[in-house]
This record gives sequence, structure tokens and C-alpha cells, in this order.
Amino acid sequence: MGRVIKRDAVAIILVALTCGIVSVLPPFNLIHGWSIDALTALRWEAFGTRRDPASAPVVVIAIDEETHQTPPFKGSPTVTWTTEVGRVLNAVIDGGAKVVGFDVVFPRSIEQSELPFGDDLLGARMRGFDRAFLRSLAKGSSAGKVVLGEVLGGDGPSPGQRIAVGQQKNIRALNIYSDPDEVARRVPLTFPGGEKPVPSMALELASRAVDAEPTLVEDGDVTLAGYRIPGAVPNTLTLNFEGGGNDVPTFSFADLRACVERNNADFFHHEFAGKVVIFGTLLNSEDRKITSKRFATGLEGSRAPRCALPPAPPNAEQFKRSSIAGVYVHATAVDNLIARDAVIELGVLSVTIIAIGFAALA
Amino acid sequence: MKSLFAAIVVFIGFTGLAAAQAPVAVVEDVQGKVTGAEFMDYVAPGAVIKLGPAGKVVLSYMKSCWRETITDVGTVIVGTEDSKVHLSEVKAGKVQCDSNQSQPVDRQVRESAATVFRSIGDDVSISPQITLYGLSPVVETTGRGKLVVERLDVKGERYDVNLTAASVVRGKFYDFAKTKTALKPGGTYAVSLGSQRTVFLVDPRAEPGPTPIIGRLVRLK
Repeated sequence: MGRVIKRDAVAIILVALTCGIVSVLPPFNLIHGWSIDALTALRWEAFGTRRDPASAPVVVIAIDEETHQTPPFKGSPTVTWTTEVGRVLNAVIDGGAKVVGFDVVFPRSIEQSELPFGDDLLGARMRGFDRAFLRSLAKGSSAGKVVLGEVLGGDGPSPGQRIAVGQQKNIRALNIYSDPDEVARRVPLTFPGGEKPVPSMALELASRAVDAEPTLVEDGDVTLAGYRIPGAVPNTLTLNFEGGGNDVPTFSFADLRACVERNNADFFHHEFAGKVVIFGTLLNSEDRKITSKRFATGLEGSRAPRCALPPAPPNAEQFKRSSIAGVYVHATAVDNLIARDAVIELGVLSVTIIAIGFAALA
Repeated sequence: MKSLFAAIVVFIGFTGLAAAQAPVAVVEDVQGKVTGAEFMDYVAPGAVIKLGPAGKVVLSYMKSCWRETITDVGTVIVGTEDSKVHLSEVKAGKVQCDSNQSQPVDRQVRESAATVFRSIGDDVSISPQITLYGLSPVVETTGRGKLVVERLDVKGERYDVNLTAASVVRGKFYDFAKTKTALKPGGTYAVSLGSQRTVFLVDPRAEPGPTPIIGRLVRLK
């Protein structure tokens, strides 16, 4: 009898060891990502919101479906919205925002249009159209408060915008890191630069918010104001999403534009003072990302306090998606960096031991 | 020399050369008495800028990355890559204006979370740009990578295709009929590849199978 028990115990140990070791082999890496997704959802289901969204250090100004349906934007090409973007940008900076990042890219100015218009070009007829926007960018960036986004391997800001913000010192990459299963669970911290690595958009915004330069340490890790940013994949931050659709306060661009029309500077001061602000889109089809929040998403919307327009009525056709607007990826990364609560992934040894333990229990 | 320069300025003024071309430079700074340009103006070749006493203008050329600081009384004619300056003083040099676009990008970070507003006519709302009369689209694109077709009006329908040279016909056509993939009649879908995207409607009476391509062709842009 004792021999049987001993033999069973040896078998259990061997099976547990095998299972534990196999579980950390590269073909099973996908499980590691799924565990992040599952734990994000479980925490959300078990504990709900961990903090008041109003206290979030990062807010989003969303070019949303409501913006597209609201005059003067309705029916107007987005490339002609720049003047209004500049006006809202001025108001946000004057309201005391720490820094403003752009998750939207205008790679061309309407002034560059070479469409014929009578005997002239459309761009020539529009000369001066982007002047106010470029001045807003120049003013904000000279104070270190504007960071434009670009897509490495894709589009960047128009040449005029590049000049307005003083070229590359105020332009950062919006690329994100995709796991092998095409799910975004991480953002890069830096990208290769000429002389030294260049911070990603998220790291740049966070570093300006805490007024500290990010530093590379010897083993390749990045620290920000003493916070050694954890990451199982080198040079990345693993995103720590809250659940639901209200974790990042989101303002409708249409409402803020109307607020500027009303000269309500107090609203901007109340809502944006001391905040990191990101201009992005919140649309049904554009820039949607599947992330580690995919099992914990909620109905997204511009539900931050309103200034001028009434809150958008509930949309019966809206449904909960597994994807989120891309701007929330950057917003969450900045939030994690400032709050120092990026996901800490366990190393191979720890994962192996835990897997062996669970296999033995099973 | 003086008269030749004046003649050029007059000629440009009469021909309207500046107005007929796309802009090449941005006015980065203006101080003192300057006419013909304002702070943060785009300027086209042939534009004439006049500086008065203590005037200063900084021009940054978008393509050549040439930056000129021009001071004191004189006249400037904007060129394609640099300016012709008469009488005023010029300090010029090349600036680092190249983006990081030329840097190699790892496969894992090739994707971005960003919205690119490309040009006039872009409409990123969900209004369909075309209607298909077949349930299996043919997508025309020269791009490679993950092609996504996602239904916009109803949750849960999504198709991911890895576009490779082998999977497309004539280098740019991917036919969903070949994989027997059929979309739902009446549905609104977005097809996207990288930053290219097109929204289309499948006609409620659309037919299944390899119907004529002209009725189910989606050009990605």
C-alpha cells in the first residue's frame, strides 16, 4: 500500500514538473498573454473601479461621432478642422494643462492642396488657413506643452506643423507593441533615435507631467523619476487597464469647441488644470484596438462634464465592443507611468513554480 | 544687378507665379517691419517678402530642410529649396528636420494606435463610401499585412486575413469568395489594412459566390 502511495506521489511530481516546465515553453506564450487579459477582467468584476475617474491624471479630448454630427464640423472635411483644434488647444493650455499630446495626425495641410481651382490651386486660395493652428502649436510647444504624434513607418505631421513645433524635439511615435496573437498589451518605452533612444509618446507625456527625464539604466530598463518601469518584454510597459468605459475622463471635442465660443475659461481651468491631455478619436470604426482589456470593456463615450452642449443622448445602436479606442492605450500608459502601477509580470522561474504548484494540486 | 532683381520681382508680381504653386516653406518668425509674410504662413515659390529697417524673417523650407534667418532692409524671393535675397543679410543652414520615419521599425511595433486625417474627403464616421452587390468582397490593395473586415452596425462579426504575396491575385486583389467567406446582406463593414480604410455597405439583395467583380470590388485607400 505504502509503495503504491509512494509511486503515485512520484508520478504526480513528475507530471506536475512536466506540466510546469511545458507551460513556460515558447509555444505556450499565448497563455501568458491570456492570463493578463483574464486577470484584468477578474479584477474588474471583483473590485470594480479602483478610483474616482475625476482624479485621473490623464484626460482625453475625443473627436467622436457627436463631433462629426455637430455644426460646424458636420459635413466638413477633417483637414479643415485645424483652426478649431488650435482654438481648443489654446484654451486647454491656458486652462493649466501640464502637457497636451496628439493621437491624431494631420499629415497634410489644406494649404498644400494641389487641386485645381479656377486658374489657381485650392491650396493657394486657402493661403493663411492654417496660420492660427500653426501659431497655437508654436506657442504651446515653445512652452514645452505640446507633443505631436507620428506613426513610424507611416504618417507624421505636415511639414508646416513640424516646423511650428520645432521639429523632432516635440514629435513622438504613436506605435504600440502587438503580442503574437495581435493583442496590444504593452507600449514601447523608447524607439531608436539618432544619438540616443527617443521616448515614445506615452513616456514623453508622463515625463513632462512629472518634470523628470526618463533614464536608461545599464540592463536596458527605463526609469522615470525613480520609478523603474517593469516589463517582461524589454523596453516596454505592460498596460494595467481599469475596466469599464469611464476609466479615462473623455470630453467631446464638439462641446469644448462650443465652450471656446462662449469664452468659458473657468471651465477649462476647472477641468484641465494639472492634467495630461490627449487629443484622439472615439469612433465606431477608426483606430480600434484589441487589448488586454478585451474582457473588461464598457460602453465608451464622452461622458466628462459638459460646458456648452447637452450630453449626447444614449445611442440605442451602440454596443459593448471587445476593442477600445486607440487613444486609451496611450492614456492608460501615461496613467500607469505617473501612478507607478504598470503590470508587473512574473519571471520564467516564478511562473514555472506556480504552474508546477497548480499542476500538483490538480 | 539691382535693376535685374527689381525686374524679377516685377515679373513675378505680374505673372502671379507665387499663387499658382504649392507652398514650399513656412515663415517661422517675423520681427520688425516685414511685408508679404506673416508668422506661421505657408509661402510658395515666387512669393516676395520685403524687409524694412530692423526687419527679420525666418524661413524654413519643408523639403530641403534649409533654414534662413534674414535681417535688415531688403527683398526676399522664395525659391523651391532656398531664397534669393537682395540687400538683406542671410544666415542659413540645414536643420535636422527628418522624422524618425526612416528608422527601421520592428515587426511587433509596426502597428500604431493613432488616427490619421489624410486629406480632403476623408470621413472617418461610419457612413459607407460604396455599396457591394456581392456577399464576398474583392479587396484591391498593394499593401501587405493584416487585413481586417469588421462589421460596424452589429457586434461580433470580424474577419482577419494575413495578406501575403501568395494570397493576392495580380499583386493586389484579394477575393473573399475563394475562401467562401460571405458577409451579411444589409451590413455595414469597414475593411482596413494599416492606416488604409474603407467603409462599405453590403446591399440587402447582394448575392453569394463569385459574382461579377465590379459589383464587389473594394479599393482600399
